[in-house]
Amino acid sequence: MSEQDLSHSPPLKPLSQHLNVVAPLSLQQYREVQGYQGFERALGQSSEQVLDIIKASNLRGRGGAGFPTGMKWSFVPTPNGDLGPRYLVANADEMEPGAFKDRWLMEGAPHQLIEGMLIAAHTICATVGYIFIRNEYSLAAARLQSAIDECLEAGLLGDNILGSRLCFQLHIHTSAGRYICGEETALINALEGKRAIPRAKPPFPQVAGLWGRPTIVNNVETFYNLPNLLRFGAQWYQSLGLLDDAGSKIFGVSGRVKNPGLWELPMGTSIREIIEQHAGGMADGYQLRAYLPGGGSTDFLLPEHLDTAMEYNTISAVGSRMGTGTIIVLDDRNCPVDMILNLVSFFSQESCGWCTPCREGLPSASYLLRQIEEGNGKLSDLQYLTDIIELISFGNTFCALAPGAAEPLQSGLKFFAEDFAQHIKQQCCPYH
Amino acid sequence: MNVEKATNNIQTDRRQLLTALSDGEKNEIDLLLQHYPRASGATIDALKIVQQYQGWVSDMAIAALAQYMRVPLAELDSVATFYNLIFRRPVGATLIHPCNGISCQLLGCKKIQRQLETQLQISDGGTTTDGQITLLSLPCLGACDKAPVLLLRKSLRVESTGPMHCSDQLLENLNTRKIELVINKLWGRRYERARS
Repeated sequence: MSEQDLSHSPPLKPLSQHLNVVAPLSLQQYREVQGYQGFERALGQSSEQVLDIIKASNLRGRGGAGFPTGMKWSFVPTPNGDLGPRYLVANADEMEPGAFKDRWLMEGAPHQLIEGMLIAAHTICATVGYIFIRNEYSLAAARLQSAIDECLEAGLLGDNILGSRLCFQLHIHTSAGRYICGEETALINALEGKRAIPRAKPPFPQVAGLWGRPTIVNNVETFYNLPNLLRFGAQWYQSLGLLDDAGSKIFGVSGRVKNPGLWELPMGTSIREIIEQHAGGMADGYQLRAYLPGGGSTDFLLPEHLDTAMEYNTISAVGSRMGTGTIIVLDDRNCPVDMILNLVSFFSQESCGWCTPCREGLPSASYLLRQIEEGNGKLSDLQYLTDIIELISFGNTFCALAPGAAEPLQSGLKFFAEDFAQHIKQQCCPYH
Repeated sequence: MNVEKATNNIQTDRRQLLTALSDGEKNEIDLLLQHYPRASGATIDALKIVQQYQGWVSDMAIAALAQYMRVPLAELDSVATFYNLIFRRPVGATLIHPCNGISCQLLGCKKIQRQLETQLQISDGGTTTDGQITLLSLPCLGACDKAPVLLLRKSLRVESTGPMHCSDQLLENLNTRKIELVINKLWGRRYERARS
C-alpha cells in the first residue's frame, strides 16, 4: 500500500473539517466523506508499520505535556502470545481552567474520536477502550454513545472488526467529578473504582496500568490527529506545521476579547495572530494586560511575547508552556491578584490530598492570596508565597497538579509585583 | 459519614438495611458487576446508580451497598466522599451549577453567583427551603467562549420506583437580567409564596 491516499487532496483542517456542533455526522455521513478510511489503511498494515508512521510524524500529545505519541506507544510491550486484556483510554476529563477544545471536538465529530482510538487500538493491540469523560459533558457523552452504537452495528467495534483479527470493545466511563482524574495514573485509579490519587511511577501505565495490564492514556485531541495522518502520511502531517512542530492544533481564546472561540490552526501560529486576528483583539474599552497561553496551569506571558509561535519548545523558551493551547486573556480592568486567587483556590480545592506539599501548600497559598485581595495582606505574605512555590515545585510532589498551580502564581508575583504591593499598601483591592 | 453510627444503625435495624436498595438498583448493580474483574471496580458506577434512584447517597445506602457488593464499608465511603458529584446530602431535583472558572470570573460570574444566592435565598452549596433547588458552583465547565455560563440539571422521576432521568442545559453568555428571568421561571411562584 502506498503511504498516501492519492485519490483525495489532503484537508487543510484535518482535525475539524467535518466538525458540526449542531448536527454531527452520522456513521453513514462520516463514511461518505472518507471517514474510517484512515483506520482501514492502518488495518492494512502491521502494528509496527503504523507505529513507525506515528513516530515519523512527530505527533506530540495534545493534553498539555506534549510527550511524543509514537514514543509513548512504543513502551507498550508486544503481546508475544499474552492473551490478557490491554487497555486504551481517551482522556476526555477536560477540567483545566480555560480549556474547552475537547468538548467542541467530541460534540461536533464523535466518529473521528472513535476512528482515532481504533487506529491506536490496532497499533498497540488494545482489546478494551474507555472514553473517560467529565460528568458535565453529557451532550458529548450522549453523541459518543450513539456513535459507538452505530459502530457496533456496522462491525466497526466488537469482535473481528471489518473481518480482521482486531477485537476492540469501547465503553464510556462518566467521571464523578475531580480535576485530578485528568492525571493519567489517577484516572486509572478512578477507572478501577478507587479514589483518584496518582500512582508512583515506575511501573509506567504502558507496562502495568489498569488492573495491572498494559494501558495507554491519550488526550482526546491526540486521537483526532490519527485518521488523516494515516491517510496522507507522516510527511504531509509534518508539512502542516509552520515551524518545527508537526500538524495542526485547536487553539482557543477566552476573556475580554471581541470574538472568543476555537480555531484549528497550524502549529507554530503566533499568539498575536490568534488573539488579534482570530479572536478579533480586545473588546472595546479593554487593554491587553497579560495572558495564560495554555490554560490555568501555565505561566503568564505579557504583550511583549505576542509574536511568540505556539510551539512546545518556543513557548517554553519564553518561560511558559503550550499546555492545552487555549489562551486566557487578562484585561486591564480585572484584578490580576483576584485572577491568581481564582486559579490557586481551584487547584487547592482539587488537590487529592495524597502528598503533603500539595495538600498543605495550596490551601496556604490560597489563604494568603485571599488575605491580600481582601485588603488584609502583609508584606511578609509575599515571602511566604515564594516559599510555598518552592515547596510545591517539581520533585517535591507526587504529580504535576501543585507544580502546575505554582506556574501562574510565580509568574504573577513577578509580572504583577506592583499590583501586589498596592493591595498590601492600600489594604484594599484597587480594582473594586 | 459517621461509620460507627451507621454500623449501630445496621445492627439495630437490619430490616431497614435490606430495603435500602430497590430491586431496580440491585438489578443494575448486578449487571455492572459482570463488567468488572473485581467488585471494587464498580464502586463509583454503583454509587451513581444509587444517586440516580434516590437523588443522593445516604449513610444507610452506603452501608447497604457495601453489604450487597461485598466491599468494605470504609472503602466505599472513602470513594463516595472523594468525588464532587456524589452527593452525601439531599439535593433538589433541580441543580444549578454556575461555573466559577477563571474565564467566567473575568466576565463577571461573581455577580451571577450573588444574584442566584439573593434570589434563591441560599448560599453556595445550599438547597432552597422547599427542597426543590440546590445551588452548587462548579469549576470551569469548558464553555469559556460563552462565559459566563451555568449548567442547569433537572432530574425527573418517570416511574415511582425507577431511576430519575437527568436532563442538562447549558445557559450561556449570562447576565444578572437573564438569571432573574431563569429563576423566576423555575421558582418564581414559590418565591412569591415564600415572600407573602
